[in-house]
Amino acid sequence: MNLDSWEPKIVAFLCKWCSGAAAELAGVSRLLYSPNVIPIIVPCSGRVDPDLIVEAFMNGADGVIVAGCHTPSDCHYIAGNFKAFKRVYMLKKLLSDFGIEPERLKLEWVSAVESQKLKTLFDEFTFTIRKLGPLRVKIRGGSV
Amino acid sequence: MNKPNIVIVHGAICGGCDVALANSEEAISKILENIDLAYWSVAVDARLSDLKSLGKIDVAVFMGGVRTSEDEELAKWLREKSKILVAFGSCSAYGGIPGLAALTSPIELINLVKSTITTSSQYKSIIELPKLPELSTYRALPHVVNVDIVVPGCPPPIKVVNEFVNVLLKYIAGEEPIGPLVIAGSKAQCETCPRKPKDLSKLQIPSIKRIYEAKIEENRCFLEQGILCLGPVTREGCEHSCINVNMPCTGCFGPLPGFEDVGLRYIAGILALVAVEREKELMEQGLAKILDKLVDRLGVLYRYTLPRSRLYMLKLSLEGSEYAR
Amino acid sequence: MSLSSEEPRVGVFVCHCGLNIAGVVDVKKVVEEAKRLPHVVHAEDYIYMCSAPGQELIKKAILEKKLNAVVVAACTPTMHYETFARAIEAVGLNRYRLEMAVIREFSSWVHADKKKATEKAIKLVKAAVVKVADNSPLEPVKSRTVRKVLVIGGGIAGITVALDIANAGIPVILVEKTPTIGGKMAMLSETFPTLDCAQCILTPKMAEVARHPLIKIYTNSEVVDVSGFVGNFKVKILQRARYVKIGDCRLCGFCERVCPVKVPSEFNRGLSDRKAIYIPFPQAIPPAYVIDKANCRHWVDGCDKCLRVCPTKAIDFNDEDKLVEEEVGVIIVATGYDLYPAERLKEYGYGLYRDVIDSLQFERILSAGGPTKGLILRPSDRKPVKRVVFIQCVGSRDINHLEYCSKICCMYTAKHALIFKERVPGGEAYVFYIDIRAAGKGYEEFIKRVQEEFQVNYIRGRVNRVYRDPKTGDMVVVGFDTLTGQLLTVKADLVVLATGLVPQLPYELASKLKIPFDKYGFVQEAHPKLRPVETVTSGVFVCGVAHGPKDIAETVAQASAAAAKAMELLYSEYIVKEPLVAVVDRDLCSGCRVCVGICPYGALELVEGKAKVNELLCEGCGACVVACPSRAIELRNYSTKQLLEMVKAVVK
Repeated sequence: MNLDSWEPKIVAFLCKWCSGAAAELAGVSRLLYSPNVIPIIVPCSGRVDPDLIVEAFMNGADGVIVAGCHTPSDCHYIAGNFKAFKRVYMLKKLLSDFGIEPERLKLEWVSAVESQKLKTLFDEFTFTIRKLGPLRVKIRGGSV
Repeated sequence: MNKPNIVIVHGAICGGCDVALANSEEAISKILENIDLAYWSVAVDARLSDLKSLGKIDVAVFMGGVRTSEDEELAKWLREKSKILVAFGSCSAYGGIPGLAALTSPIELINLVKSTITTSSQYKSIIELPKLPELSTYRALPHVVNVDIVVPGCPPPIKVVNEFVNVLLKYIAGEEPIGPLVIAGSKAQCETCPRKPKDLSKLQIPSIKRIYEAKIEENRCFLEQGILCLGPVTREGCEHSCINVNMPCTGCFGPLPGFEDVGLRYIAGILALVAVEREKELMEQGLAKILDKLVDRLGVLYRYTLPRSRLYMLKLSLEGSEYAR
Repeated sequence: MSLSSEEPRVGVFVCHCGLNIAGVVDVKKVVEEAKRLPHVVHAEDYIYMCSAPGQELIKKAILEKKLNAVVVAACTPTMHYETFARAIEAVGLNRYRLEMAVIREFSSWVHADKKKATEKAIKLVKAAVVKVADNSPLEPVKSRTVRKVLVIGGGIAGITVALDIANAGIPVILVEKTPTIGGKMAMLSETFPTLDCAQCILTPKMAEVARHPLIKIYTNSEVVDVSGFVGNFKVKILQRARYVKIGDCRLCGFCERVCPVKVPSEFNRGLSDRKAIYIPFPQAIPPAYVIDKANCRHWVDGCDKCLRVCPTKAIDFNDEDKLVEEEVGVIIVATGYDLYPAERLKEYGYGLYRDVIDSLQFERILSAGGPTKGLILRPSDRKPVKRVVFIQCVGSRDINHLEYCSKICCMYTAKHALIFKERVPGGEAYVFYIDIRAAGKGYEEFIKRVQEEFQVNYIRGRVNRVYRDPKTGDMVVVGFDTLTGQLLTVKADLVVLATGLVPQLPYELASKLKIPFDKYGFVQEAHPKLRPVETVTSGVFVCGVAHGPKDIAETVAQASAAAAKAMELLYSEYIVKEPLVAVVDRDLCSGCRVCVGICPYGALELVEGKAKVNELLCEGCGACVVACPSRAIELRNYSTKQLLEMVKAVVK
């Protein structure tokens, strides 16, 4: 892989009511951010299946963002964000067990008005992934 | 005498599957009656060279995981030669407990073995390991070759072994194999489990407890008592032999038909349900503390199935392995 | 049109939005790439897709190219999903076979690099095509509603709701646990800050409820079972036997006079006695006596003194408990409060000394119809009270008892002190407080008036002990004055504790209603700011102190709000819902029950051992879809398969 031309590929699962609305607001406000991040809108961050995150990595994503509503009470569906938290928390540990940097998966709470926060999230995460490099696996006792 | 023949071979084994097969008088007698037992190193005096000289093989039963380059070669050779290939036991079907070593590089494994040799210093330089076959990436049999029948269990219980032999006889008689056929139910353990939650209408998991921390109530669902039981993500068919003796299911019958990665299903469902009534009270910090009680993630979530997991496939694909699917 | 079995024929329509999109994204290239996608049989661009001519292009293409799915690459669904949905419906295509790729807000407006913005737009279109190809053509979920409301609780909250709804022409069933409606407000003497006589403003409302043709009252009754869901609840009401025929009772009171049994009166909170046959207070609704079976001697030794003197023979010892079934469309919880058991604060001596009483007991003493006919006499020896000490925050704001503030105690204590000073010339009143909470209209002025005009002594500090001096018989209150830094000992005739409020909703009823409650037992509202009277269970509302401590003005406001919400739901004959809900494949379900606990709406339940989704309660969040260990549940038009394909489409 030619590391000079490599661009991070990042998938962001945004919930319709909070982070997705923030993304729309960012658009309306013409906030410019990294084009490496592609959003997939879901009804709730609680809809994000760990399988989807792994699938993203399997197909070439270098980083994944899951953005939902603030705890404790912002979630439109009451407590989907808590489910997302527990799933991402455990998945990050499993990624680390399998030799993948857990920093490649990020969970963040973004409310519908926090368009600036979303822009910063996308830009900073792209930078983090750029530093980590393309998705590789560290085997215990050696690295690829 | 045109009796069909059967060979039983080993990959990385513990010997339990041989015992499981031998334990069933019904199975052994049916096999001996109807099939020519051409190779089984625990029962028949034969060498690998005798196996390789067989003209044709009707049924090949592979026990154990694919650990060394020898195992790999054998598996591929058998697939070519045999009509029916069986993955017998959880190691063969899903990777089994040795599968947990799949995340450690072969170099590190050898070093680990070498480090256990104790001797006085004057002999240290003379000690050499015998010539070992090369360790390759650890895999379950279905990831190396296509398999016709899967007999899960660590080891497979007698009932399942008997059912397997019945299926075998049908296939030998000419019935077309629709593979791979798994000799287990397609529903989760919960459907027929003798233990139930206190409130039959819902399941609540207030916390996570290590087995020694819980005062286990009989007849009550393990999960409700905080004990991580893999029943919901494991196929039934074992007649709950562990659950019936107060031990939570550890998942040896493998995942349900809808998925391959047991760990991802478990964190998506069971672990997401932990402390659900107290989420707003505990907040992320409190929930993380409870989830941290699961100390041995791989041992609990992937005890028998790690080499078949999606995360392992991801790892292999990133290494450029031809076995990533 | 059954479409999900047909081959998808997708049309992609890329909007320029003037220069908003086309200025950054190469729309022609997007159209080109779209044409190469699987299932896409038509792709074109236009300057303003949402305009009338733009919509005509879409309709024309659907008819000419026999499209059965449409992707519009433009702004967000929030802006124009409805516009395009109506356009495609006009030519017979189901609105759920439409997806929008947001290439304006998510690409052209937020990226400067034209090449990258175009690449991203193409990926967004790919994902939308992959999703729409698998969308089912759904119809909205419709359900008939029962035009009737159940109100649980007959206090001021329940009464207000019942009248609001019945006056709008909708029948109401009002269920009250005690033998009369009126609740705690009926026990009060005056209400703050206007000092209106509580009974004078309450009893007309009670009478209105009694004579309203659309309100059916069940007193001495409790709701014991609830099943069903919004619009179609089936409830079972246990109507306990009254042993007195309501229509025949003339309120003459002869029965009461001859009854040999005396027990402490609940209405007077133990300050006086009542008979086993009694009426809680003279203005009770329904206007009839009731027999307290547990204490009545009829079933012990056959006593029937009351029956013999009753002029209308209204007493019926053969009365039985009845289980009544009713069908309603909406349920409103107005179960109110009780006072925290003050005996748990041992330092104050409640229960030990008869002259340490709680605030409701003081209300009864102040009431003209109470145990002392409005004279302020202390319970132990009926000595007129010259000096009274009020202690605020008894149980409230205390980590050992109730962590929250009970909101009304500062105001009613001030009210108590004012009335005391009015009625007892030369009387002295002391109030031990931590803070004064007087946020309502006229409340701050009221407190000032009590402190300055009526010269009630306010001492900022906590009381650490209350005991009786055995020599003088006085109550002694020892407290700390934080503003002067001194320990104070106050001798008094009477000590009144402003005890905290606790909710009265029984746990079993809350579970049957499937409504959540917080750790104190108050009903949890759907959203603390914007949905204060709704619960997450569709069709069940809450008002009054059942929701949280509040005074009568707020209770009435909340009750009217709950009534409005109930009427909104029942306005038309049908409830119509978006069909984007979860569905269980029973053949795959193993009955593990994980989904039941994950659902925040209680929309999943086990039916014959397998999970089933109630489409009216499901809000489509998808938490159960992810959680199902057997992958037996899917979310309509947001299935796992669709999402997996979308992920592949954007990443590969």
